[in-house]
This record gives sequence, C-alpha cells and structure tokens, in this order.
Amino acid sequence: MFSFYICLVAIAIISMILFMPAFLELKRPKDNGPRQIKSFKLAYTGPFTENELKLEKAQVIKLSSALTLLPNLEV
Amino acid sequence: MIIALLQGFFGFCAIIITAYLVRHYIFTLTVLKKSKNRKTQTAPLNASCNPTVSILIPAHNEEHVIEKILQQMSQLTYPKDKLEVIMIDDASSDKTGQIADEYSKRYNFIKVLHRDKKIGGKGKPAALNAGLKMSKGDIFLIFDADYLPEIEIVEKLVSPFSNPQVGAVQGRPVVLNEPENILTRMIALERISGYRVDQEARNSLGLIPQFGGTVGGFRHSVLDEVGGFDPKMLTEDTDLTISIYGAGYKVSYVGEAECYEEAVNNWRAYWRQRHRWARGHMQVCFKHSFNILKSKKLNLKEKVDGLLLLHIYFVPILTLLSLLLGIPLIVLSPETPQILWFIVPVTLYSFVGNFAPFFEVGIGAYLDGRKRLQWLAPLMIFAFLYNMLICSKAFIDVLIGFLRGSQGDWAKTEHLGKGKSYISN
Repeated sequence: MFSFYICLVAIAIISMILFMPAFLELKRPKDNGPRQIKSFKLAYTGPFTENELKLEKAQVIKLSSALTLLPNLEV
Repeated sequence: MIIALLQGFFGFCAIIITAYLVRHYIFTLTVLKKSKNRKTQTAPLNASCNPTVSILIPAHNEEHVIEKILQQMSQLTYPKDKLEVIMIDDASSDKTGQIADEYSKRYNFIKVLHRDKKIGGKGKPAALNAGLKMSKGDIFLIFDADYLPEIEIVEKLVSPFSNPQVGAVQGRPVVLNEPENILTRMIALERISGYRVDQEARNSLGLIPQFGGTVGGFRHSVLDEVGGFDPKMLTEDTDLTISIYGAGYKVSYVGEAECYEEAVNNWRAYWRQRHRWARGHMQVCFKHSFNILKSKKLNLKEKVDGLLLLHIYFVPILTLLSLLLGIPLIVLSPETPQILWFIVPVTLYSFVGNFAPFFEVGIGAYLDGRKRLQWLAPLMIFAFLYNMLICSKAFIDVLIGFLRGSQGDWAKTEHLGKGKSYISN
C-alpha cells in the first residue's frame, strides 16, 4: 500500500516536471512565431469591392467639381 | 490458449509500434544531419523552368476567406501570361461566387467555374476534376481557399518539374492562427514535425514524400495518365501520391515553398477533419497496399516506406489495443509482466504520438528556431489520446462502410478567417 502511494507521488512529480514548461509558455508566451512571418507580404488590404467603389466615387466627385468650373461651351 | 493469443498480439503491436519509432528516429537524424551539412542544402531554383501553370482553388461556402487568397493571387510574381487561376465555386450558398466573379472581372488571368447544387457540393475531388477539365496549364497547383501563399510560391513549386521524373510537388503549410488557443498551437507543432522533419527526411532519403492535397501540384500529363482524382476517395491526395509512384514518377517536397493556413480551432472540428483523414487514409491503404507490393516501378525502400505510410493511421489503434491488452495479461499471466517491462516502455515511448513523436516535434521546432515552442511538446499527449479515439472510430466506420457499400461523406472544414494570428486580419 505504501509503495502504491509512492508510485502515485512519483507520477505526480514526473507529470509536473513534464508539463511545467508547457504551462509556463501558455501562461506567458514568449515564442515569436514562425520566422517566415517576418518576410511574408500580405496583399489583402480590405474588401475589394467596397474600396473600389469608394475610390471611383471619390474620383467622380472630384472630376465633377472640376468640370463645373469650366465655361459652358453650349451654343 | 487465450493468453498465448493475447501475448502474441501484444508482441505484434509492440513490433509495429517499434518499427514506426525507428522510422521517425531515422527521419529526425536525417534532417539534423542535413541541417549541419552545407553541401546538401536545397538546390537553387531553376530559373529556366517556367511552364504554363494553372492554379485551382476549390471553394464551398468560403466567403470569409476567399477574398484574401484571391488578392494574394493577384500579386503573384509568376509571369501572368503563363498563369491562370481557376476558382471553383462548388455549389456555394453564400457570397463566395459573387466575390470570385468580381476578381475575375478585374484580373483576366483569374477565372471562375460555378458548379450548381445538382452537380456540385460532392467533395473536393469532384470539384478538382471539373477544374482540371477547364485548365490549360502544363502544371497545375492546388490551394485551399483558406490558404495564403507567398507571392513567389509558384516559381518555387514549379522548379522541381525541370526533372522529367517528378510528377508532383508538395510545399509547406504553416499555421497562421497558431496563437489562437492550445489546439491551434498543438496543430502547429504537428505541422512543424510533419513537414519540417517527416516530409523533408522522406525527400532526402528518396522515399515517398506525400502530396498533402494543397500547397502542391502535378504535371498535367501525369494526372491524365493516372486517371485524375478519384471522387470516391476521402483523401484523394494520398491516393494520387501512391498512383503517381506506381506510374513511375516521384513527388518532390519543397520546404521553401511556404503557405499560411487556418488550422481548426475547436476539438469538434478537429475530430471531423482528422476522422476524414483517417478514414480516407485507410481506404487508400486497402486500395493500394497490394499494388505497392507487386509494383515493379518501386524499389525496396520505397515499398517499405509506402506500406508504413499507408498503415500509419492504424498505429494509434494498435497502441490503444496493446495498452488495453496489457491489463488482462498482467492479471491472467503472472510470467507476462517480465516481457511487459520491456514492451510497455517502448509502447509508452510511442504513446505520445505516431504522427509527431516527441523527438520529431522537438527537433522540428528547434530547426525552425522555435525553442520556446518546444516547451509545448508534452501537450501532444492529449492530441494523441484524442487521435486514438478518432482512428478507432474511423476504422469502425470504414468496416461499416465496406459492408454497406458507402464511402462516407466529405466533411467540410469551416473557415472563418478570424481569430488571433500572426498577421492582422
């Protein structure tokens, strides 16, 4: 019976030793991630269609305001 | 009689587990040796190799992620006059098709293939076959919709095809949402060991690197020769790998061709994904094991590695059985414990994972410069316990499916494109 308790304690201690580094890293992660991430270029800048529409509208507004300044050539 | 049978089966399990243990040990040493030997560094890219390339992106309800990969495709550095991107909208009920159409209007090298609900939604292999018919490239590459490839990836994946014996190529997926939770971190560890060590070693040793279904591709003529993707297979990638070797070609692993992926972030999705992998792998095992043995195109070490590769998903089941058998053996046979003192430690050593044994995980993380990530390796015990159950269930489903004549449904993995990652969303 005594040896059984000794085994239990030994297993508990070994488990703690085994998992302690994992708990430390989970609690305070210091891993910087894959090295590849530093050179990775992400092309995604946002939803494509929305940006495109906004850009076109802005350009149209600018152009129309510029056109109103021109003289009326209608005869 | 019963005790003798139990002892025999226990011994058989231990021998198989030990064989995989030795295999992974050899892989790890090979990669360590290669990293120290400068002369065996990867050959430079073949700049003269620039064939026409078709990129296939099968997608079913991927509106959350499809835009990112399509924008990444628009930035690829491969000559656009030799490149086409075919996005296969496989019976999507969300905005996947609409988003793809917008990109198709903007970029003339991006095309969209819409499959309606009558013919679509039946799994990735069927979608890829449809895309294959539409593709014109000499080489075609496959990317899953949730992947983010680097912009120079096409050149890197295409380079090995300058060797006419190369029929397929496989790059390296890297988990993007690794910091999200414990599961994603464990999956990242699995990926590091699986690709940085396992695939790398198999490539170096002239064994059978596996095409993983994404971040890779084939020579179009080779795929036509082997009959395309088998829609009945749940793991068409493994099936094709073996078919390609059977036809006398090779798969080349390119570790420098990196692509970010979104790993599953909950245990239920992990179960569904790995269950499909296990079940599909077992299907391929039953289909190809005998073909490998009698093949005249494979040498002895390729045959051995091919068989070990195909049977790998049975190892967790054997491990579970051997652990369960140990208990009645101890009770029924007093002399057996003497054998167990030798076998049990060996079994326990492999207990922690046949997909990513501790030393593969540790060395893979070390070679990647991720020393702190190595600290998480003991957590793989839980993943492997889970995988034991997954593989056992998959085997039962395979047997039931065999009796009923059904191959199983394609379990789609949901991608949200969110979550904590190393790149801001």
